[in-house]
Order: sequence, then structure tokens, then C-alpha cells
Amino acid sequence: MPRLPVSSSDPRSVPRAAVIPLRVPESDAVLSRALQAGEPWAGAALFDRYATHVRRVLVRVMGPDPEIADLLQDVFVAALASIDRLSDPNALKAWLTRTAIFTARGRIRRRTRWRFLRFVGFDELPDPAAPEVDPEQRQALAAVYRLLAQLPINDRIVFALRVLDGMELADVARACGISVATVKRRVIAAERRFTSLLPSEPSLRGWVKGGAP
Amino acid sequence: MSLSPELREWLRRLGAAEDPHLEGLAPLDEARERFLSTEVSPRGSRKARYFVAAAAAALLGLGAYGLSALYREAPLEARVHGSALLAEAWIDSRAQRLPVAFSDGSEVTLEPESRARIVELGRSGAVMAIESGEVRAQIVPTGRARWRFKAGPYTVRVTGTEFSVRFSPEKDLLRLELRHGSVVVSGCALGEARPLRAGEVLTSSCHDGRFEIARGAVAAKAQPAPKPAEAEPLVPVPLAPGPSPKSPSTTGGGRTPPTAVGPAEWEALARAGEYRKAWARLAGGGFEAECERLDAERLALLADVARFGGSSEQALGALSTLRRRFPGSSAAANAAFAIARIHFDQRGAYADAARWFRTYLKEQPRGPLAREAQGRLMEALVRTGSHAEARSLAAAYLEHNPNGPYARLARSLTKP
Repeated sequence: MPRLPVSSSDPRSVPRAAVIPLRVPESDAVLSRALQAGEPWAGAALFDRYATHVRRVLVRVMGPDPEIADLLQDVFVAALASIDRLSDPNALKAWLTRTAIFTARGRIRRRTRWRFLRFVGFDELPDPAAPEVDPEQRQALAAVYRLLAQLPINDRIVFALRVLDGMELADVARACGISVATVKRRVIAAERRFTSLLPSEPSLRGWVKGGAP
Repeated sequence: MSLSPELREWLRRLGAAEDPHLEGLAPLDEARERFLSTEVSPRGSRKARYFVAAAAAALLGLGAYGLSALYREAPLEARVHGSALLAEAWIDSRAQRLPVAFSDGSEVTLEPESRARIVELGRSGAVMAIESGEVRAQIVPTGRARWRFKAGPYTVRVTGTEFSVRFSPEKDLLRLELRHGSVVVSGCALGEARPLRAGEVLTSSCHDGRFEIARGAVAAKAQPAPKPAEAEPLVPVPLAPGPSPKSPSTTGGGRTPPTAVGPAEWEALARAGEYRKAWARLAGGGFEAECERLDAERLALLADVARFGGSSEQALGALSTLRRRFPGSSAAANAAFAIARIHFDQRGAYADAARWFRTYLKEQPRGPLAREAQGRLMEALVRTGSHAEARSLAAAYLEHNPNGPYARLARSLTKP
């Protein structure tokens, strides 16, 4: 492989070439200001920096869901549309997490409301999430998400973030826009309900009365 | 009743185990492009909501037939010399040019001595990983084509275009010549999305933290590519190592039997991707004899036949024989990697998998599969509860592969 014909000290060695210096990644504060100023590069930078995180939050809250890609787009559109309301420019990640949770909650509520109009059973749709997770884990995850779907929506969200994702109480509180005490209350309620539903899932029955699967 | 600590821990681990697999999901790119093509205005948000509501109503109007038809749309198919490629197939062009034809009319050709992998076949594109060497791509612009080519830390996003990309994993060096259309390249020194236009040549070195875009350095209209060799069909080689061009036999010091083995029936079927049929030909007997007779490259192919034909036990047998007969060769190291994968993927024997990934890394610390082996070893260690070792491996992994496919897992392990 020949050496790179790149040398900022000797630009003559690269005829008709543009040598572009390495760009230092922008901090959240710089990115926030650029977004608020409508800089053309900022939207892409925001997506590239946080899309993976947002998708993870969405998958945690929604479970394996064929609409994750749509929701992901919705989250970024919503975040950008309300970027002027971001008060702490260093809190972009928390801002997006919160937007993701609100977006997911809205989608779950809409689905519940319009369930009678559902054309295709959600179980029949392709499962785009976690295609490489081993089958046993996938089955267990699917069972867990089926149980979560039976929880009240707010309890389901805090349970997914706190228990499945391992987020700190304070982070869950920030993400959901509620107090730490409310998070605790909802986690307790969700755990009770989740435990009571365990016998309905054959693959999780082993956990009833403190067992293992 | 609240959760028992064991159940809580199990649920947490279940969630964490999902994380590494979220990295490679395709919808991220589609969502990115749709997001970037959406006009977002802070004052227009209410208007946007009305628009979304109207669009939703229109969508409902499509009815059940339209929706189910959408979901029924089949993913692309990839073929080499007429044989369908398996998902996750490794493709090794060895000494010839090897065209991969896709069902949407797109074609990706591996130049000689190149290795690539089909990561995913989607409905409107595919994700390919270029492990080393050069590929030439002609992507048919369908209006909704979504293709990605990954090369080490770099990602090339394509909607419809013609280009060639060469990647050297040893030097983290990328060279992309764009003949037609446009692509967006990201990763390493390039940072966020870097668009390229027809006629531009990008050269980027991760190691030096620099890149160069030369304009007009390549003919904007593609020259007709020379016809690829029609000769022997060489298809998906998920595990089999390729012989080095300079030393045609990877036999570990000339241990190959001096008389070359003629192409057996099973071998022709295997090279055409018909692993089950090939395995059926061997089922009548002769497997052990073949293990002792074949050269390293064919023995690895035989292991693939066993593996994909349905017997991981005999695949392990063939790979162990390969290691015994050709010790110290690169083929033996690749066999160690293959053994590790079988333990990991097919048997869930994570401790054994970890042992064999370590063996590969010991024998080929800078080998073409080293990064993958490090990542898989890390995952195997997590699954066996060896968190301290996993953490120390994670730190080393991040140092050399901050954007690697296992970077998220590594970060989660190194978090204080």
C-alpha cells in the first residue's frame, strides 16, 4: 500500500487536492448553540452523536418493535423543533432521552387507543430488533416485554429504564420529568404487577417464588 | 411482592445482552436520511403536527392490504455465480475477481485478495463489511436504495452510485474513488457525515488523523470494468481461510500431501453454497478419511460443510484435525477462531469459546479476525461472569477500536 499523499507541510505534493485538517468533535454546548442557530451541519452531528443512545432508550421502552426506526426519526424531529426550549446547552443527551420517552409514551397510548383499527397483529410483524441475540435470550426478552405491555404505561417506562436498563433513580426521574420519590413508587408498583404476571409466561415461570428459569 | 435480587440481576443482564446487537441494526441509516431530509422549524411544530395527523389519516386510508403488502416485501438476495449467499456470509475472492449480484440489479465486485462480509440484506439495500482489499460497487438508484459499506471505523452510505473502495485494516487506511453519483462517508478523522461528489477521491488515514479529498482525480464516468473470471465458482466462505497469494498452500511448512486432491463431488457442491447437499454426499462415509487427506484450505471448507450441514460435532472434529495437521499456519489460527464461534453460537459454551478466541489472538494478535475475536472474547467473558478480565480487555479494545462494533459493550464494562 503506497504512503498517503497527504502532507499539510508540503501541499505541493498533492496537486489538485484539498487537505482538510482534522475537525475536533464539538462539545454538547457548541452543538446546542449550533442547533439553535440553525447551522446546517448540526442536525447530522446531533443524530450521529446520539442516535444509538436514543434507539436504545426506545427499544427499552417499546421492546422489539417494527416502528423503532420511525420513532427514532420522530424523536430527532421533535427535539429539533423544540430546541429553543433547551435551557442547559450541556444537557443534550438528557433532553433527547426525555424526548424519546415522551415520544414512545405517545406512541403506546395511540396504539392502545386505536387498537381496534390494527390491521396486522404486532406478533406477526418482522422483529427488527436484536436479530443476533441467541434464541433463548430472544424468547426471554419477548416474554419480558409481553409482561411489560400489560403494565400501566408510566409504570412500564420506569421499570424498563430502572430494571432492564439499569439507569440511576435520579436519571430516570430526569428522563421522565418526575420526582425521585415518584420513580420509586412507580418501580415498586411495576415490580409487584410484573411479579404477579410471571406465572402467565411459561418461560419465566421458574422465577415464581424466587426460583430461576 | 417486589423482585428478588436474582431476578432483578437476571433482567438487567438480559437487557445488557441486547445492547451489542442493537449496534448493527439497519434502520439507523434510513431514519438518519429521513430526518436530515425533513424540514424542521421551531415555529412550524404545530403545523407539522397537523401534517402528521393528515398523513396518518391518509395512511389509514391505505387499508389492510397496503400495509400487509408493505410488510411482505422481501429482502434483497445476493448471489455469486448463481448461488445464493447466506446472511453473515464471508466472501473471500482469493486470486480472482468475484462479482456479487443483488436482486435489485446492483453489483459489488471483490477485487483479487479481498475479503468482505454481508452483514445484512434489507428490503432496500444491504450492509457489507469490507474486511480487507478492494471492492467496486455499482448500486442501482431505485429512489429508496439504502446501502452501507463498513470498512473498519469508516462507514460509506450510498443511495445509488458507482465507486470503488479499498481498505487496509493494518493501517486503518481508506481510499474511495467515486465515479458516479454521491456518497456520504463518516468515521475516524472524517468525523460526522462527509459528502463526496462524482470524480472525487478520498484518502483517509485513521492512524494519522488526516484525510484528503482530491477533486477531478478520477474519471467521472466509469470505465467498463474488465470481465470477471468465469472459472471456478467460489462462494460463501463463512469460516474457511483463503490461501495467501504468495504461498498457494497454507499448509504449515509443506505438510500438504504432495498430490493435489481432485475436486470431489461434495467439494463442488460446497463451493456452490449447497452445504446440505454436500453434507449428504459425505454422510455415507469418508468424512474422517477426507479430514486426513485434504490440504488446509479444503479441510476448512469441509468443516464449513459439516457446520452448515448440521453437525457442529464433526465441524469441530475437522477443525481440530486441521490444527493438528497444520500447526502454526494461519489456517490453524483461523480454525481456532472457527472453533470458538461454534462453541459460542451453536453450543452456548462460552468458557470454551473464550479459550479458543484467546488461542486465535495468541497465534494471530494482528490477524484479520483479531478485532472480532477481541469483541467476542469480551462478550464470552461477560457471559461466564469473568467481569474483571472482561473489563481489562474492554479497556484494551477501546484503545485500539474506539468505534469498533463492540465499543458500546466495552464502554459499558469500563464505566466506573
